[in-house]
Parts: sequence; C-alpha cells; structure tokens
Amino acid sequence: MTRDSKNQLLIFLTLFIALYVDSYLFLSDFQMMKPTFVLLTLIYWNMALPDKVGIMAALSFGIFVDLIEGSLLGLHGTSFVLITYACQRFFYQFRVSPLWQQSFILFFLFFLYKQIFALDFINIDQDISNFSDKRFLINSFLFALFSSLIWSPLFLILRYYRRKWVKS
Amino acid sequence: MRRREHKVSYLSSEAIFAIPSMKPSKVIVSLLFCGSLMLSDIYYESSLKIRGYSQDLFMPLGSLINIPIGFLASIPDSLTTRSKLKLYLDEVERENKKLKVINQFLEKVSKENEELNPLWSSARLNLDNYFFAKKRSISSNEFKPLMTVDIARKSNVEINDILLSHRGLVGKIISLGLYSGEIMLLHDVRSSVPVITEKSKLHGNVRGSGIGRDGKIEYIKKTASYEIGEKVYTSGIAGIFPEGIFVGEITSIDDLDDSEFLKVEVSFMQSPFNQDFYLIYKND
Repeated sequence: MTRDSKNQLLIFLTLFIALYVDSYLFLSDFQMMKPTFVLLTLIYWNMALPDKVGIMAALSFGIFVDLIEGSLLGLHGTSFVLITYACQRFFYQFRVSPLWQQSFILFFLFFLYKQIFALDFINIDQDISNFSDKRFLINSFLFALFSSLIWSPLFLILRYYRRKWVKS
Repeated sequence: MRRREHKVSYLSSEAIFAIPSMKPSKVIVSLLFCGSLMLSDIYYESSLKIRGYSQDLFMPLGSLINIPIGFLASIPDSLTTRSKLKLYLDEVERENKKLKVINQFLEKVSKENEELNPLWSSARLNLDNYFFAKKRSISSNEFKPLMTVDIARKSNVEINDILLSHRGLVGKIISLGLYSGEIMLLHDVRSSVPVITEKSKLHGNVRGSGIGRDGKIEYIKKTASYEIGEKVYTSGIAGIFPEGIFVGEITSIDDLDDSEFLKVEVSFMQSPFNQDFYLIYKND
C-alpha cells in the first residue's frame, strides 16, 4: 500500500468514526442539537490537509448523511460541498487563527447551516416557506454552540492523530 | 516532485509551494449534481426507493452502536455471584408460571368477548396482521424526523403499513429495505392523518409540526365546537390508517382574527424516544 492511499484510508477512517458517533441515539432534546461530527471532521481535514480531502469526500459523506438522516437527498451534499469549498478557499487564514477564533467562526457557520433544514422545499404548507420557529432558533443556537465548543477538543485529538499516523 | 505541488513565479522563476484550492468548476459540477438529486427527490420521491436499502447497508453501524450499551449493561451481571443469579433465576421462573396462569384466564375472557362481539374480534384480534419491530435509530432532523426499525426479512410488511405503540399511532412506513423500514412519524411536517374527535365527532386532518411540537388539525371552520382535552382518533377515511386508533389530545383552541380557520393543536402522547419495541399493523 502506498503512503498516499494509506493516508486516505486513515482520513476516511476518522470520517466513518464521526458518522458512527452521529448515528448514536441521544435523549430526545439533545438529539436535535447534537453536533454534526462528520462535518467537523471534514472541516478539520480540509484545513489540515486540503490536498488530501477533496470534493468527492464531501459529496459522498453528505449523501451518506442524507440517507441516514432522511433529509432531502442532496441537501447535506450541497452544504458539505459549499462548506468544504469555503474551508479550502480560506484555509490559509483559518488555519493560523487561534482556536477560540476558529470556534467563533464555526459558531456562525453552523448556525447558518442548521437554518437550511427549516426550509420548505417540497411546499408542504402553501402559506410559509420555512418551518422555523422560536424553538428551532433556540435549538439552532445550542447546536452551533455545542459544535463550536466541541471544535477545540476535536481539533486537538485529530491533530494528534494526524501527527502520529498520517505522514505526509 | 509532482507538477501540481508547486507553481512558478513569473517574476523570479522560483517555485511557490502553495496548495492549490479546489477548482470552482468542480464545485459547480458537484452542486449541479446535488441539485439534480434534490429535484428528482422533490418531484419523483426517488430517495424513498433507495433509503430502505441504504439503511440495510448502514445496519452494521447500528449494531456497532449497541456494543458499548450492551457492554455497560453486562457489567452488573458479571459482578453478581452465582448464588445471587440462581435466586434471580428462581424468581423469574416463578414469575413466568404466574404469567402462564394469567394468560390462560385471559384466553378464556377473550373467547367470551369474541362470542359477544364477533365484529370486534375480526377487526381487532387478527393477530396475523401484527408484526414486531425494534427501533434502531431516529434522525436528528427536527421537522422531518425519521425512525428506522428492524424488521424480519420475510415479514410481509409493505409501504404504508402503520406503526403502533401501546399509546396509539406512531407513524407509517414510507420506505422498506430487506431488514429495515423507515417510519414517517406523526410529528413529521409531511404527515397528515384523517381523524375524528371523541365527543364532538368532527372530522379533520392532523398535521405534524416537528419533534417536540404539538400537531395541528387543519382547515377547521370557526363554527366547529371542539373541547380542550378531547381525545382524537383516526377516522379511517382514505384507507391508510384503520379507524379508531388513538392519535392524541386537543390541548389548545385559538380563534385568530387574521385567519378564517380555527387553530386547534393536538398533543401526541407517544414519544418515539421513550420506547424501543413497536407493532406494525398491516392494514387490509
């Protein structure tokens, strides 16, 4: 096995572990605001090794999440691709920021990301174009908060993993 | 060194070791692909045909999730002594005998009921129409929550069969795989159940509003006389849901000035998070 393919395998292993953690069933309220570990892991790899994680990884894992979550097929794919592109486009700026600043940026990114899922794409209700309510906004806020809080430990864990196992 | 790993400066002819960012053309192609997936899902519900099978593929992931739970549950057993386990076994055997005796009495009562009301028994006690289902997962999608259940391979379950708990209707099957079924819950914004109320006998449709939110009875004229606390049952109209299954309870009735309809909210008693085993009812 070449070094490149071994690295790819190790990166995909972390993404599958993240998918496993995402599938875990939590208590009712926390289930709606638990962080999306796949996306956080994808952001890390885009930032750390942008030449190793491409658009295909974002697209495939987005579609996997769509199939698991039961959302509109392609919705997670679209958001994962856009976030991956933004991360790759600005990773020079993002990578050198301190962790608290990265968490702060991710908080807004994840808050916006969550809003996509309130949109009424299939026009269920003629009168409204999205289902967002006060409860959803609170859940989105908490989702973004938990995601940004989990970013620092996840970043350190994945960095340790990368330095230990993923050799460039 | 590969060509793509560096660029050459036009001014000094020195190598610039910068990692090129993702090509926008690739992003556009991916977005177009996702867009076409979304359109096919919106207009032809294409994902429903593959979701059930994809859940079969992810089933090992579901089994992996249960490993830590099973391990934690087995710790107290492994710490218990043999004599204590024997005592527990005796207790369980006694309980089993007691249940067998109770069952015999229940069968007798059931037979008497059947004689008294054959119509009821034909509608309700057709046990061949019921199948067990075990909950595997619930998605974190707030407005379109999906529950995945394990089903036996040759269980004859079909799309649009309904899922019941001891507290009433839970949802209906929208996608099937070989070993998995996806359930659209009552809380789902896409779910619409024809209902009738217990006292006022008024018909309507209950639509979900998302997990943790009350459902709504749609398009109710302002002259309708609902009562708070009134129980709501399936009406059997449209044929998907059989008649008389408990759906929920009316919790609020608002007469809003800017609407031509009443705002009637229904609380669902059955939470998909609190229960692991369900019954699938095959509607003839």
